[in-house]
Amino acid sequence: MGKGVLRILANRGDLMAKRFPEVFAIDTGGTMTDAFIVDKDGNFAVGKALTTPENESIGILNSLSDAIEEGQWEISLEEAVSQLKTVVYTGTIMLNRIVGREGLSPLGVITTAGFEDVLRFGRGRQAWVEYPYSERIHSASHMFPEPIIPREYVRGVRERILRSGWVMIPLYEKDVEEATEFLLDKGVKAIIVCLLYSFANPEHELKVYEIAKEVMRKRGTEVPIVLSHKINPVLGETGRLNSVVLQVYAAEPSRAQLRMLRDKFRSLGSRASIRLLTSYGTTVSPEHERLIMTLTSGPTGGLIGTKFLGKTYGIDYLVGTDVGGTSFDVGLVVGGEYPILPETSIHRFIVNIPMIAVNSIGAGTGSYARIDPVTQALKVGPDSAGYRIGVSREDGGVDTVTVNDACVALGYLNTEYFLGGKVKLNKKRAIDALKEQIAKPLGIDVYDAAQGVVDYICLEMREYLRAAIVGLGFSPENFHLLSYGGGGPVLVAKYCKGLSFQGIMVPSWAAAFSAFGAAMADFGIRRDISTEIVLPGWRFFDLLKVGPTPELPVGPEELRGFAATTLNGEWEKLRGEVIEEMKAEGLDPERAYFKPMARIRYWGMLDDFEVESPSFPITPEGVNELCKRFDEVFERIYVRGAKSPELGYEVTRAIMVGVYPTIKPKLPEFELEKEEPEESAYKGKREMYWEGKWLEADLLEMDLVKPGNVIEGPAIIEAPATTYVIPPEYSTYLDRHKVFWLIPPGVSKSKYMGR
Amino acid sequence: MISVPLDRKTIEDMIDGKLDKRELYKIIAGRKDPERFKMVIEIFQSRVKWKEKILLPLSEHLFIVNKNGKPIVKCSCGYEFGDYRINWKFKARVFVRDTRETIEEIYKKYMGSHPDWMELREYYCPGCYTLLEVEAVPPGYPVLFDFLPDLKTLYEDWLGEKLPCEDVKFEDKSIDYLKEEIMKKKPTKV
Repeated sequence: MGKGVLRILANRGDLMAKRFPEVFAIDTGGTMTDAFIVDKDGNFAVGKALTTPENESIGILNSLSDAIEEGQWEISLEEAVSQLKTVVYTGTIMLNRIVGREGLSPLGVITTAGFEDVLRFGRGRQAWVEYPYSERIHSASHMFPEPIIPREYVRGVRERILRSGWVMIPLYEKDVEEATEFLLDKGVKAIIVCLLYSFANPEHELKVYEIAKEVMRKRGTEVPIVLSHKINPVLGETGRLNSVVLQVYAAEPSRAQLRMLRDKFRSLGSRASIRLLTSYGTTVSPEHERLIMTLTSGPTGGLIGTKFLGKTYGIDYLVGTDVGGTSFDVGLVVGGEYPILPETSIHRFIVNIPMIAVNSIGAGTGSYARIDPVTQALKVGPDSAGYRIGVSREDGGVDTVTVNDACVALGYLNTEYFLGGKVKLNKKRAIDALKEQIAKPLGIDVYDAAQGVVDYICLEMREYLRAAIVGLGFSPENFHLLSYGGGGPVLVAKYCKGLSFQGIMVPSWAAAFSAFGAAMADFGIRRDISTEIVLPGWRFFDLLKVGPTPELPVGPEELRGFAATTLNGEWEKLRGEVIEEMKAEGLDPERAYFKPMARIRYWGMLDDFEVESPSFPITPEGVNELCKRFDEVFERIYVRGAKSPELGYEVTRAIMVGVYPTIKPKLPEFELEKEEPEESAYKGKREMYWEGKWLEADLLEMDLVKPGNVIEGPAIIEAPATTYVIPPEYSTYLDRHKVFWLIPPGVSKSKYMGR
Repeated sequence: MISVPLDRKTIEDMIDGKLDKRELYKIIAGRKDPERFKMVIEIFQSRVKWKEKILLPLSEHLFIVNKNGKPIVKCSCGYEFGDYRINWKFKARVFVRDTRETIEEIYKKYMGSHPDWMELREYYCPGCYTLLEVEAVPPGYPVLFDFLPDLKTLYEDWLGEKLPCEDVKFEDKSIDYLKEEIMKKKPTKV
């Protein structure tokens, strides 16, 4: 058996068999490209390679070869590629365009007169969103991002449609002609049309389209015209306009790159379809009209995986923590579901696109550690060396020490076994640099300095994690914690210290967990549209003196009937769009199932949540049921006492999701073996520094640890793609699904044994 | 992250407002180097015609300088406001915008403040008539003393240097100054 093999196979007796991957999920992070492959029986293997930002497909293919090799699937890369049915991509191609300002430009905007400055003003939050905490509270640092489209490329046209969709001021058609002429004279490559409340009544946007087309025909030119209600028919013109601008600026030009990726696979003999993970947890094709939905899908894979594990174990409250090279992501599964937020930010632009709630800070294993020369205080992050790892990587070109370097110095990481030995690290370089940059200025021992760096980053992670949980009104005792990402298992004991979770889980495939989640995402298309359906509660009728009607929680029959008709109309329309899109992607809508959903809040409150409709079409009684479901969701996320059905309800969005189930990896189940690990699992001992003391830690090979085994700390369990550190007085138990449970001191092992 | 220490050109550009937002953010949020203060002082010193040593810049045009051992406030044009512990605004020329007409000189109609609620006080240097500071305060609000630094602590505890001027007591002397000025005026008979 190959030494250093990270493998999770359903049947260990069947080790050397040829396996052909059908699903290949890629997670291109700032540091590593992770691969996750699944065969037709649900067996899976993981691989990892360094990200190659200049040409992502190199890193992607390397990680695929790595997965085949590490999984011992006994096939060549060509053979693997030829059998692939689906390739799921999550990555940064599009985001990089925004960060580097390398999108399609110049672009022109036609908007409602008087609203020309919407892009420039943005939202107040844009001045600080995505900043590290230290700069959020530092108002001198608050600066608005430079708008992607300069003000002189924005033209207003006189018109006004109200929220109800009623036309108050008709469209001044001459304005449109002039605006189009003006923008074409400026040489714009596309024209974006975003008028107020166009989602309620698209009449004017459609008219602008016609007039602009006519102007172009007369001039003999042709540039794309993009209408906001088609891309993002959602309330809030800033978020809507930002979404459309980013779609045209970054997503559209990336289609070509994604097609290139597909062609690369084609040239290797694959007929696989390339799928992109959306920020709401399904996958779409690169031809998807609203590609903007895939822009921030990076952290969603991990949450899909977290939810899946939760289902497998029957755990409803689970927090997923992803420690990468550059960032620390936290997402919660509450009551078995991940909350979906109605808006998010993309490189500090607020957009109205639904996204699985995941928050990140710039704290990872590649974070730089420095001494502030003025205050002489240690500071770690928020910037990082990313894929260059740290000083210890000789050819990385990094001069400043990183958390990785500290982990190398403390003996947590094996210099000869980083990425299974593919990247060699130099311990002496790390120690020398730490001495020079951290220990000497502080006048302390180099190992205490390294410990300080690790403690600092873990303290930041812990506080962030605690805030994410406490901020929702929970406490860590309500949750199980799942740690993944290449750096998760290294630091998990440290960043969970003092937070008493129900259990701390470390999947043995932690390193590629996000890709694992991505591979599990169903094909699916989601459409949202803003609605304004109010169902007043009895308090309202009480105030109107029309009699208290507490027995009718959602108002009189007529209103519920109206709500049902409106929702059915919107859902029907959205379903038509989803079906059309599915056909365009070559999917058979007959095989899909549809989930009609609504975003609801208590009338007058701000927080809305998504609930699935009990039926489609919905009946007036169904509306009652829908509101009851909302009560339940609200109670799960907040507390029972905060429920306020007396206020009534407001449906803020109608949502239709068309889902097309795909092959899922299944969690293999193994026989439990004895507690004592086999002799062969031990590779030796290594000196490890832990809280001021040198300890002799047992060194184990992760692949040779058997389900049922219990390992007492101090111990280090190594796999090619990650390292799992078990501190003294801690122990760990590997369960039948090959998920490790980290058992803190004072917690009984029997709580986890037998799982 | 920006490399530290910063070169003189970058700091000059920062003072002149020539840096773009991203660079400026990096400087604000980034690490500070111990030489930065000295360099900023040097840049300002090289830009003024007078010889007194700058102890601390207060704004683009105002500096606390060492005048024969005494720390005083001085404008870049050379006008001297006197002891830095007395609000320099008492000696500045002031123009108050407290009517619709004066506010609408600089704001579009209905875009400015209401004179009943807020007035704008513009302080000009009597030497060069440069606008030094603007206060936006409710009518009748006392003149704001923007910044009274503790020079001794700054130099000795923060910079680790000897205070390069006389060690004057760290206190706000504005009220004493006002009292004196009022006493100088002859009382009017009622």
